[in-house]
Amino acid sequence: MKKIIKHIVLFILILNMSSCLDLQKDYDYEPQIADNKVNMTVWGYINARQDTLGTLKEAIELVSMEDYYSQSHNYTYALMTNYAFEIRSSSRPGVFQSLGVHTLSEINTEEKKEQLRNILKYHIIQGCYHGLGTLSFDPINVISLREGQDAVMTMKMNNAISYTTYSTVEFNRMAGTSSYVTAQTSNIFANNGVIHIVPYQIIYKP
Amino acid sequence: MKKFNIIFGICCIVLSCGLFFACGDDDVEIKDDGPVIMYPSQRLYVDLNQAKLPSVIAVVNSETGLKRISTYLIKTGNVQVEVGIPVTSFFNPNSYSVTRNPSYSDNTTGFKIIAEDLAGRVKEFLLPIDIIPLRDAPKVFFYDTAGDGIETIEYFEDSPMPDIKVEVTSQENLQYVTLKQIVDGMESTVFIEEGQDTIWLSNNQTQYEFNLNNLAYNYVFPLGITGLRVYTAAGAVDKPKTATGMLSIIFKRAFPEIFITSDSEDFNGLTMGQSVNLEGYVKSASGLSSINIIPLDTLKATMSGEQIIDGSHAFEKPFLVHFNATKQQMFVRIQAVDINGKESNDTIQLHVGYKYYHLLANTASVANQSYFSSKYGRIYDPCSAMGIYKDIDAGFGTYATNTKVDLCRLDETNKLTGTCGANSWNSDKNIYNMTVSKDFTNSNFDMVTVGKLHGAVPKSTTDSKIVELLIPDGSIPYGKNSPNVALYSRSDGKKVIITGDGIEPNSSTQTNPVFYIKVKVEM
Repeated sequence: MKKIIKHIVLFILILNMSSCLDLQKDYDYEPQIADNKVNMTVWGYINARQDTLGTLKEAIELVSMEDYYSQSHNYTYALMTNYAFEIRSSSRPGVFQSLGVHTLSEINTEEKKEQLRNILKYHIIQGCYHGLGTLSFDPINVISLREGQDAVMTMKMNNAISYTTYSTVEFNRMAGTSSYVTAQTSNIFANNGVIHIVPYQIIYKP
Repeated sequence: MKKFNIIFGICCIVLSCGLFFACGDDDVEIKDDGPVIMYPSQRLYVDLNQAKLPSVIAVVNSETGLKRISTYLIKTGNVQVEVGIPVTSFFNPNSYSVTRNPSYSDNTTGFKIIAEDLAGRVKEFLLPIDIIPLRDAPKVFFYDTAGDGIETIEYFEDSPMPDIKVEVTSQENLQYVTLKQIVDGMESTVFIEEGQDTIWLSNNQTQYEFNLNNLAYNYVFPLGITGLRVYTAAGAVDKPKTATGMLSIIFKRAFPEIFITSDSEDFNGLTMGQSVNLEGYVKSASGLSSINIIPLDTLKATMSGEQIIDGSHAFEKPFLVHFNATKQQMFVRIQAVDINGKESNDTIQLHVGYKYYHLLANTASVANQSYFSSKYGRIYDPCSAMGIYKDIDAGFGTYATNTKVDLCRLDETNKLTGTCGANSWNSDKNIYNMTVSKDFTNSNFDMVTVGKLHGAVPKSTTDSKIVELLIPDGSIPYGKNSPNVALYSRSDGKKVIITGDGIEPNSSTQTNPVFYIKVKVEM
């Protein structure tokens, strides 16, 4: 008898509680632009993304160029992924292939280090260039930190009909006979510049 | 009404204040020190020899905003030539990328950008340009051993390859050198180095040379070669400057050349057994092996007494040999052989027991006649012959009507008559001791000696008065003997043989021809 009373009381309680719940109301989706500000310097970003940029970090430290990534000139940085260092290809040689080495440890002469510095400087562009107002679909010439009349580079936004690449940043499109490089991640705003992540070394061929 | 005026006045004041502040919003906010112009390099190097010349690249930044950018090419004397049209519309007013491809020239010294921002501030920046002017095309030279430049050589077959240096020079890096030979008008490649039909040059090499006698595969000039061509190029791969050098080759078959310096009269009118000297020299471009002196009793049958002179690889070798004239019909052959086995021959004939003459008779002279004296071995015109008529034993006459050259035997009974200029011999008179023989043709006249003239004895007194020696109708050109041979005996019994030897070139073949005769007179 007691059990029956307990079950009745429990049923009444559940019934009362469920009656308090209202039907779920419609929810309107409110789009928001993803915040591409990382609130850190480019050097801080590199250190935070060692899974992708670990080799670049070690390369920068090897040639003591950390200051180039910590300065406050608002440069544009094409940061090379680990793959960009390691790939071996005739059309898109990696950094190691360009230097004639297989690992960073083999970059042990001043001549090799100077070559590495030049490669890294070529990937730092004077001025802020991104796809949110400063670049268009037409390539423009930009000036990198590597001085010399062969240090030519162009930048533009990708206008391919593709949801994965449209409006991403491209380097060296229509620059001599260069193979152009499309950034795999574009327009990351650090405190001291704009970052574009590139999967290949950017090379200018007249 | 007062209230209205007050309210209207207040509205006007408020409106004008609003307009005032509204105008203030159009002022340019100055955020920097003016436009900043950046080049990727401090100087621009332009090599006009390259196919692709560099663009001028620059970036102009302005936080205040860009208003106008113009670009200029600077030439010697600070001459400014505007490049393109000024830019006044900007996708990004804070940054503009300048890319120009100006027409560079030797006198280009720089590139200037003038930028103006929205605040009206103007900045300019000059990029110095260093020009490498256009260079000359490469040059090809051929040098002989003395170091003199040559364009043509003579080459004798089988002689050693000439020591000729080929030099290719250029102000720029040479790309390649190719050697071609021209044989019968066709070009084919000659390997300068073994296995390489083309010499590819690198390392900024501006000079290349090789020697023709040091080519691959022991190259020698082939028969019929007329020249060598050297093709070369220098400078940029995509803008090469090409050049061709040519060496003309006069290819000569290198047979030995025989020169006899003895007088031909030394072999004429010899007596049986007389000693004869034969002197001369032989030249050979390749070098001589031997000189053989071979006596012949005919042109084929050799006699004893062959003499061999060692050539000793000499390029020129004299010879002097002695032998005896042992037969009336005798020849001596000089045979020269060079080190390559190439053989040259020359043959002289010894006239033993008779005198041989080769004379030019001219029937275009007075009275269309010409006379021969076997005693003197000469031809005379009628007037000269009149003076020595006793020694004239034959006359030649011609008539336009019968287009023949007749020979008439003359002697005391058929002597020259009349006056100079008139017909001076009478063909109607009896002519004796004379016959015509067709036994001796052109080929064998030289082979017959007077002692073997069996046909010389006339069969009758009427055998012949006049011999039709030549029929100058064009069928007996120069150098060809007449098929007719006149034979007669002089009053002293000596036999005479005469044959025609063709019409002189350019002479009429029908009227009053000038012709040659060959004569043998028994001694």
